[in-house]
Amino acid sequence: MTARTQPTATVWRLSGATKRRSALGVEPHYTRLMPTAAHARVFAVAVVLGACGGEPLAPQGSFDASSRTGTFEATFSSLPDPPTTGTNALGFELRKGGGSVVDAMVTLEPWMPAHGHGSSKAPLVTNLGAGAYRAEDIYLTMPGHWELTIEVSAGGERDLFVLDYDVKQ
Amino acid sequence: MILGRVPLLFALSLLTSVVLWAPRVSAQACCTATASSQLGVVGRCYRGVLATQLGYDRAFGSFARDGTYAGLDDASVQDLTLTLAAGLRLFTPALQVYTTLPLRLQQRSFSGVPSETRVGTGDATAGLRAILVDDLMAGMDFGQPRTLLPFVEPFVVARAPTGRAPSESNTATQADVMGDGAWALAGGVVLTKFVTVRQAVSANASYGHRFAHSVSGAAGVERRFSPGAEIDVKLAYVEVLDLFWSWSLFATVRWTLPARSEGQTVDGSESRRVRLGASVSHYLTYPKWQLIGAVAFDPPVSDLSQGVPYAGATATLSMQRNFTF
Repeated sequence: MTARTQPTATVWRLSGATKRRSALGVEPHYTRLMPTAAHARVFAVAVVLGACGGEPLAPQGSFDASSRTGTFEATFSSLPDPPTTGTNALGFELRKGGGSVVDAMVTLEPWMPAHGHGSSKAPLVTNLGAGAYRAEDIYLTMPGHWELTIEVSAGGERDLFVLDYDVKQ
Repeated sequence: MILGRVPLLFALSLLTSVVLWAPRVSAQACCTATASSQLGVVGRCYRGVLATQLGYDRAFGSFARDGTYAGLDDASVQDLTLTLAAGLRLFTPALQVYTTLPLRLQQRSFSGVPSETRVGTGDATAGLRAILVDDLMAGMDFGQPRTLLPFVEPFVVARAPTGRAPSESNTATQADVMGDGAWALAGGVVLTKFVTVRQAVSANASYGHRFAHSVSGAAGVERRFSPGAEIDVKLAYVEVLDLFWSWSLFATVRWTLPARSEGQTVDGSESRRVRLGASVSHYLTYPKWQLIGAVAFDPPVSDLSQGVPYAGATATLSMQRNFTF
């Protein structure tokens, strides 16, 4: 992701949101990031991630996004930030209608659209409770542009987030 | 008296040597230049070749989609490739077939991931190449148009996905990915012009189509993927020093056109890769045994290349046995 920006600017770039089809063949939809407004929730996610044994997440680089049809909202934080070649983690807090989504089924798939391949290992997603989730073992095996498709199912509803990663090194 | 004849004898010997050797130098020049840096390709004056090449690749950085170059700080990417190759002229000296099969040893190490090393076959190739026009190799005389014509060698090459494809990987680092995953068919032409008896310039251009295939990721979602076509251009300068030695400088550019996934163009999937290199050829015993060393690298200059995940340097050492029948 374009993580070389100022702390209050967009750190993860959600480019081409209205033009590109996602890896699962549907139109992704994003809410542009508002890092300043999101700091409180970001800090909460960071605390949750730190509490579960991972390295503490700095609040920088976190952002809000809406799922494709707007069913869910989430605040995401990457570790490391920016994402790098190798193993990465992603913390996120799921919300719906202002409340936390505590019982979601979540799957992630990293995909490199320009090369037509993903990672060989599926990331592991852990429900940390209180609407917080952590995905680990997100293997990004080379620098370049990656899409991370996050499928969320909860309360009989299903929707997608598609995040753009620009892995520099 | 005897001492006084020494310079004359030396001069006669030198003249005799030049007269006798000149055609052989030309022959070597033509064989070297018309097969320069292309493993398995039979030189102009040979009937066949068996070759093996040992290559080492190491990545030092990458070029992002916008052309920004960044070093690889926390990653180690190294390949050792042993390539077996053979070429043979069939039916007529103007036509040859050739093939290559790489055997790869790959090491990958990334941040937070244990180092992995895997061995396997890469993608095999088979080609057909012809000589349509011969260069007289007499230098260029603008008063004689025939001397201006270069060697013209069209070719077609097929590549089979015999190496493990990215979507078939079982390793976290994808160290076991040895191939492209797609069948490919390329066609092009090589022009080689001897500007003088010992100096040649060469231009090689080709267009390679990579066929669509099904790919899937860790989640098992299948997609129909058409990798972008590849346009390759290579420019080379070859200088023949003597019967045994020659060297060349070359530059290559590969443009990869946009890929398509599920029928949709993948934005930002095009790439460009510029490499520079040099090679030295030495006949251990002329004309049978030939040793060729080459190095090539991606200049670490932003905007020169773009969309290249791994950019670095390559060193190869080739040994080949030429057959004249």
